[in-house]
Amino acid sequence: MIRIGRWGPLYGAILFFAMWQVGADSVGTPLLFPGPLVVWEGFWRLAETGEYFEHAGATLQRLIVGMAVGIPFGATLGCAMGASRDLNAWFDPYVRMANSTPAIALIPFALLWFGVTEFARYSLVFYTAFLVLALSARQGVTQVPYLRIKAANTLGVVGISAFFRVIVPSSFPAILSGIRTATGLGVMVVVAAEMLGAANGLGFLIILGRQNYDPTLIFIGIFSLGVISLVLDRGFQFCIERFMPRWSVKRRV
Amino acid sequence: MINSNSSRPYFVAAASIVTAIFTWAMASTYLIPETLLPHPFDVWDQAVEMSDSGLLWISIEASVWRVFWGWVMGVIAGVITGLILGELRGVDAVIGPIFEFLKGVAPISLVPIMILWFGIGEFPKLMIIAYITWVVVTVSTATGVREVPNVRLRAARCLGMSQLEVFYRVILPSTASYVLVGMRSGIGFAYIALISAEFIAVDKGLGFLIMDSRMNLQTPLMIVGIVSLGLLGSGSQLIYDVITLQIPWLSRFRRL
Amino acid sequence: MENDWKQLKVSGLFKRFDRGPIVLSNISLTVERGGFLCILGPSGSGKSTLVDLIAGFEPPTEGTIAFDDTPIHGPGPDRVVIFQDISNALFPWLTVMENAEFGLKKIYRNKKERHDRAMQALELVGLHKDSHKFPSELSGGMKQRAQIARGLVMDPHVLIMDEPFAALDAITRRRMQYELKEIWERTKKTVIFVTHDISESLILATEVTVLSSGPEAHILDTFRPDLPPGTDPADAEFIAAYRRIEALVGHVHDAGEAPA
Repeated sequence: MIRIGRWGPLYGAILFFAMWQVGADSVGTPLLFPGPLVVWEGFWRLAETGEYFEHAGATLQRLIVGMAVGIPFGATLGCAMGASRDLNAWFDPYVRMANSTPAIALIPFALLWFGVTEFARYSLVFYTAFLVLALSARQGVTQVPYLRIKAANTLGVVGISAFFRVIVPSSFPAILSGIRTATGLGVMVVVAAEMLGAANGLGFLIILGRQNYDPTLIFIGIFSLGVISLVLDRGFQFCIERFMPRWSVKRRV
Repeated sequence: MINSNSSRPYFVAAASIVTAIFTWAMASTYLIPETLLPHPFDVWDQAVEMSDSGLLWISIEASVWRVFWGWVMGVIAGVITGLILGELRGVDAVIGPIFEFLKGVAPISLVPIMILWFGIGEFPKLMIIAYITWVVVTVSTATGVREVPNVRLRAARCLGMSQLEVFYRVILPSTASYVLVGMRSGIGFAYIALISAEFIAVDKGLGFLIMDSRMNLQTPLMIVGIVSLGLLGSGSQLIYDVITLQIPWLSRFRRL
Repeated sequence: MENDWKQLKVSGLFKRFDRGPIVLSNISLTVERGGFLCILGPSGSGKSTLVDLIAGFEPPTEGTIAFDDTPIHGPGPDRVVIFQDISNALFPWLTVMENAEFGLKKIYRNKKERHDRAMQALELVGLHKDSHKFPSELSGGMKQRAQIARGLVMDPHVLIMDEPFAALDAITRRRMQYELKEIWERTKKTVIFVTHDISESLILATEVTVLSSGPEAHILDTFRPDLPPGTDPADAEFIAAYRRIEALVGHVHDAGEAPA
């Protein structure tokens, strides 16, 4: 067997593009199925005018703003729910309901309430991030080994102090993992929101492509989304390893 | 407190829900316009009406049919792909990264291109639902195969098993628990794909109902649609849990 | 495989992985049929590698392993291994009985015969009442017994046990050692038992082979403790044998490492 090792992703990418090209060629019309070269050309055109970055930037901005607000609030509620059984009992029904109701289903509702505005989109990302983080944080808190709390107690650290000094840090890995999940889901929501009512963004690009019967635009949008998701995910993992190595999953906090 | 400790959460939850409904009713009557927040009673009436007229059931049936068959197709394809990826390390090294990439492609972004290619029939919708389920199940299955402890494979060899026998008598059962978990996650994603598809190109189904009701400002209809969808989603997972945990032959794999 | 073999012979075994250091150097030993050989060595002495070689999971770099004159070929039910990692060696989706019957499916078509044979083995290890339980419902000692039963059922030429009791608590371990000895006396099976515990080797074995620490682990000595039956670890003969091994092993230990 040929040693593939670290070059796997490269071969994978080559294979992917090769199959794509073959598929496009066999169909024949770039109007229906553009190959990678056609898409690349189209991307370059958009990039030159700066249009591409306008769209990509809009999508990223919506994602980041929604998450920046959703994450802290969600994590806080989650920790609180994990710590207090009463609080958990109070909020759990809504958490469960929200869990069965993906943000996408709420897009029309949000558009109804807030109109076709940025706020509507931010609120949807917020909803997603909030929910995911609340669940992750709650699980993180409830899964802190009781032994660890007892250890803290023997050292004289009890109550609220123990909560902030032992329980919260112990739940960090769960929270970080929640951020990763939220990012993935958040991208889905942003795209959906853009496709259903926006004037810019990668989702909008896809819809535009549909309206103008220009599948190249659609492909640019789809591909960009895949790349962005991948980059964000890997980037996040990288940042954790680099700047906060003590919380990396490998350490098994 | 008169109540024992263990039933207290239920009382708190009940109190919470009652408060919420009360607040809803008050807010809708005095604070927020009808179009944005209809009164709970209006929503209920709407639900009853939709049920009687059959609209609710037609929509549910259309959606359930799509999500179920899409999910089934995705699971079958996913298990096969996942086993291949998990067993053949070489193939996994090359194709695995492609899956990492595919995971990030939101199903909704695929709807327009599918419609362009295959029109507005059931096929493109099924394809999208199957696609996302396929990705999720493949990853779980491949992980499951990789996680089979080496010791276990050796133990089987000692007991006289050939490579092929090791595969289907040890690797497959060991992987089963991962596959079952992946199938369950797949349900959630399948519903997301379902709505994505139904928002953009349909004439019936819950997603269509929700989208359409916005056009006509029929908010009670929208709420009934959203709630039905939520109940359907969690109901599906519940049914899945019941089946996999109650059937003895299956539950032994879920418990691994 | 013929059933009238007399010895398992390991001759001039050398093992290195790829282009790494030599792990085992010039290992030669003979296991008489029906004997109980203990391979004793500190951690890192290549004991597990030796197990892998005899079991057939790895090929030797040099040397031979054979039953009389017939060399072994890969793993098989003639040399069943009992592993230390009991959580992962048993099949968790099968009950104790199903685990025990696992290897029999190929050999015996008759359901009843498989069941009876498995039940026999389970009775031998004392698990016949728990045959319907799943591994997750068993204690550490019980799990190990289940593994032993699963191995015995195959009627192997040799039972290879790779530090099987190391993960158990001391009390359970002691009990298992005596039970294993009883099982051995009843079944007259040939056993190769690998451990780092000197007392364990003296309680169980008819012959002890002491390995040096790695790399390039070699045999320091092979001898028969010849302890009279019913010898207690507190008896003089036991202690004398213990001291003898200790001297051997202590002799090659690095400073600062206490003998087991």
